[in-house]
Amino acid sequence: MLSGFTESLLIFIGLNIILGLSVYPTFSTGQISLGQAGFMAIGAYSSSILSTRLGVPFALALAAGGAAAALVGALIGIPAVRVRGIYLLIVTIAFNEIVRVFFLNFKPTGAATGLWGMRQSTNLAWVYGLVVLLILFFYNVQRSRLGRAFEAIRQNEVAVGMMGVNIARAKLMVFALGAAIAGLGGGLFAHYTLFIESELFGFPMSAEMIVYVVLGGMDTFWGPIVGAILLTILPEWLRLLHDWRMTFFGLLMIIFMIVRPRGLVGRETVSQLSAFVVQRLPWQRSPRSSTIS
Amino acid sequence: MHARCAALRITLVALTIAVMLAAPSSGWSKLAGKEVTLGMLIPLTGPLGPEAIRLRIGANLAVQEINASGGIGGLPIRIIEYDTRNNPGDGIRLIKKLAQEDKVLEVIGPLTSTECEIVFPIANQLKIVATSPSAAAPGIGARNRPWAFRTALSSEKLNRPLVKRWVAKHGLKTAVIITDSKDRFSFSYGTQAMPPLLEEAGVKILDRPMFVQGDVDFSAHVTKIKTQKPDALVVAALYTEGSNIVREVRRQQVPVQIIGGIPLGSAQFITLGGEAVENAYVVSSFWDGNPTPFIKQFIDKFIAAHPQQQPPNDTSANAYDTVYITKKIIEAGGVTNKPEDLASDREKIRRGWESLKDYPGVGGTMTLNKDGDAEKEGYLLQVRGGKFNLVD
Repeated sequence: MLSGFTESLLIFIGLNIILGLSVYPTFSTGQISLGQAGFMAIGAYSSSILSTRLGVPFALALAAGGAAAALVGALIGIPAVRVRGIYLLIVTIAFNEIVRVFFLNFKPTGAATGLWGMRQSTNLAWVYGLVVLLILFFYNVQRSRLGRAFEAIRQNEVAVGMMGVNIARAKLMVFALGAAIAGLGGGLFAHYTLFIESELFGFPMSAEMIVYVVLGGMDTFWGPIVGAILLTILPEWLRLLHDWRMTFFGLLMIIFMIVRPRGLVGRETVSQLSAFVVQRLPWQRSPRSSTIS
Repeated sequence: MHARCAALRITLVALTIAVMLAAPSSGWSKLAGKEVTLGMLIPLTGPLGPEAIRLRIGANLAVQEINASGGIGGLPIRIIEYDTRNNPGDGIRLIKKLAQEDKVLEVIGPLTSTECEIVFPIANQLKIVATSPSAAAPGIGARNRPWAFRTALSSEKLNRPLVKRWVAKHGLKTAVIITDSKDRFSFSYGTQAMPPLLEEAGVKILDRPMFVQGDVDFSAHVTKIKTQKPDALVVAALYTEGSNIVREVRRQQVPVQIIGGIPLGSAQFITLGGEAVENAYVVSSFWDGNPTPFIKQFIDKFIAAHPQQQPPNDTSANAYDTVYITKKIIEAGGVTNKPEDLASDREKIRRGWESLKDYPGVGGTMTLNKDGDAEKEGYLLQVRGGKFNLVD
């Protein structure tokens, strides 16, 4: 049986993986959204209102939270995909701030006093169920026509447009997809902490999600997963350093970025690792052994 | 027969004396184990670090004093401290670690109201006392019965007599309340606590302007207040914004009496406000110039131990009191400190907190109400000569 500490650490690792993966779709087309915490807030608040005030079952409330975030994501996406680089950063940061201030002042969701009364519905099964689903989803998308299109957009937008890919639609899609994932993460978060307030979904939260991707690696969806796991566990392991913990943590980040500027997990890491595993599978006969026999 | 009776009586008396001498002087049975462990959850990393450190110093001062004079029941106290980074995930898993792995008797903290909202329900699940020396937003205690307690509340009991005295002193008739809509303590102070008290004292509230924590320019607010010509201005803000508001009031020479709540009772209010905050009033449960011997002793010790820090505030005082209250409860309530009695020990500590009455702490004399929140007597202070002075 897991201790309460380990269990909640695992839950937050899972939540952070989901949040890290919510940044990845936009990242995969070469755009950076720094407003993911805003979508997370929308998912958290709408699912909590549904489950507490209207008695909607958890699964449905969670899905509705994700859908609400996706809808807002699509709406924001329409103007947002028309700008790029630093301008997109500013638009998304501003969006995050608008959402935060909205929930700070919106009386029906508790305004400055926050929202509570959720039941503890989030558990390991829910969190890791969603993580597995997302991994399967991204694994398949990566190998699909759509996934290749995203990759191509990142490499050279103009060329891809010439090839007949609808760039605006693809970008809008990743924006809404990222928002939906963040919304689901927010719903799970709210039903675990059992209390939410606008302050929890500010810019620092968005920045943290970006760091999972930047540190973990932005080439494949395994990057944000590794980044989220590492960045959740490391501060716990470093507790033995007491007051110097976060200083050392920051130092480690810098070292990581110097040693692995494209993130810890690159495309070649995944291919090498999978080749390594495949070679050692019991049913996989390596070419050499076949010649001997 | 008579002689035997006398002999028996003498033997009995002698036995009683012997038993009394043999037992420890305060009458508690000796605790098991090597030490008494308490947990502490504070956000050392992040913007609240300085406040967390002042909480920590307060608690550690009490621990040092108690350990130097024999500890609790002969055992030293040890505080196991974790940094929550003001992060909800950290708060949840660390109180679990303290309760289930470190097996502490009670938890001191968390610091902020938000952290308390998240950690207190877990304390109830785990059946361990969590007591916050600083979270002051209303309603948190009531929602988290029976294991959560708070020693920092700006209650009616604290404000009513002092507001009445202040109003009578200056013959105030009208007032404006300026409120920070973002800071939860200030918000409840400005919109819920103060209005009924002022009306009760016969003061008419002319307007209730709002601002947001982090604002720096208050000229528009103050210009409007100037046209409304109130006798008094209630500043429901933290010290940074509070001092800026008072500065602006003085700059525009608005002739009002100014009063603020607990956050303005901090030394930083005077440091930041300088000359401008002279003559402003503050209602607080803690006064860093208090001459009462045991409180002065605490303040002096605090400053001597950490001369580079700001002087103690209500958070440090409440943390200090929390450790002493815990000692008192453990000594009075038959806590054994045996690993197998952990659950019943925690229950005894909970009952001790619940029934705390008129405890003379350095952070004010306190009684816990049915919501687990402290009700205290406070002080009406006025800034004069760059210091807080008591108003009689």
